[in-house]
Amino acid sequence: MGKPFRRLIAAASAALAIGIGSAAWAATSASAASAPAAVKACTASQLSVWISPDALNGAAGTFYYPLEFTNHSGHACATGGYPGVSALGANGKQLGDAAARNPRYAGKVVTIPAGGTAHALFAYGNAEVSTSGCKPETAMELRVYPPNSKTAIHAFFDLPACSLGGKHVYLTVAVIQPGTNI
Amino acid sequence: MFKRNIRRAAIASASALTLGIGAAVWATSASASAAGPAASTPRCTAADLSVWLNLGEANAAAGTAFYPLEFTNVSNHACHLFGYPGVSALNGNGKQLGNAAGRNARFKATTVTIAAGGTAHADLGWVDVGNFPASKCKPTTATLVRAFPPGATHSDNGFAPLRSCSVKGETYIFVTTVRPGPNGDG
Repeated sequence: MGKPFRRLIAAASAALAIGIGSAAWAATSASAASAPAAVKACTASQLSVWISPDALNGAAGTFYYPLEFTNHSGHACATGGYPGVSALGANGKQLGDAAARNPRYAGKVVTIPAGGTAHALFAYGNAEVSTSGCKPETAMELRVYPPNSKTAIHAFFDLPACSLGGKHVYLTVAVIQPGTNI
Repeated sequence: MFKRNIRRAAIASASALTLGIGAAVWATSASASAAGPAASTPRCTAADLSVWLNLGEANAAAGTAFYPLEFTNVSNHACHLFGYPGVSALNGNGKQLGNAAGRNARFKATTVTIAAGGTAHADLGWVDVGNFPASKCKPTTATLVRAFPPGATHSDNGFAPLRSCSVKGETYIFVTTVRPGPNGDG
């Protein structure tokens, strides 16, 4: 009985996060609906985020990578929904627009065991960056807000990025799914 | 007993043969892969693994940043590693920058079994190359870290936009043996 109430609070605090930064909008209510009572929601401090350049899948003008979420804590945790993703330059400043959402998959609760990894499909618009006149700059990091988190995790990522925001979506991200592979 | 020693010697000389191939291949763990494995899991190949440098778990000490160099098993079966990976930094064109990583002997090698979807790590120390005379280092920013898993002749790449030496001479990366779990050992 206490549970629906807690859900409401989680949803409200996710809504609060919307104002904070251009990437935080992506904090999602997905995981609020979720977790079996035994497993707590994943916090940013439990997760490491990374992209393997080798796990690349190329399509016309777009590269697909798994954006990996590794649980380096000693216990399982639950997550789900869209992460908030943007690229940062060497000075820590956001480059261009934050990642748009790719609605290809439905959101669901994903439990990541201790030491395990989940992923979200992440796309990098190579053609958009190189041909749209968006003033490319080499990125240094990806800043990733896990679903429902106001704390970001950083990962190395040094591809060219659009420095001009507004109408140059060059990154997209889908909801988190189980396992390491796309 | 005797048999096993011979097998070790054979493997050691086979891996010695690979020395000529590339600057990083020297780190293919000679004694390492020969000594270890529980028979039940195969050695992890480069194709079984994704390698990544964990920025979030970085630790800085005087003049050196330590990162867990993570080996995530992206295959659907358990596999094992034993010993030192071979590590070097690459620029955007895939060219090696300066010296390959030296070894940090802080941890004795053990056989590390990585479950499907699991992660093991080695500790990577990346020296602030500003500490070297500029003329002997010619600093530049790397794009990738290339890692040959212990005993492997193929490599995996991870993103690593870190300051590196573009000329040979100063060793600016050091790596330990592979250890269980995703977390660095400080």
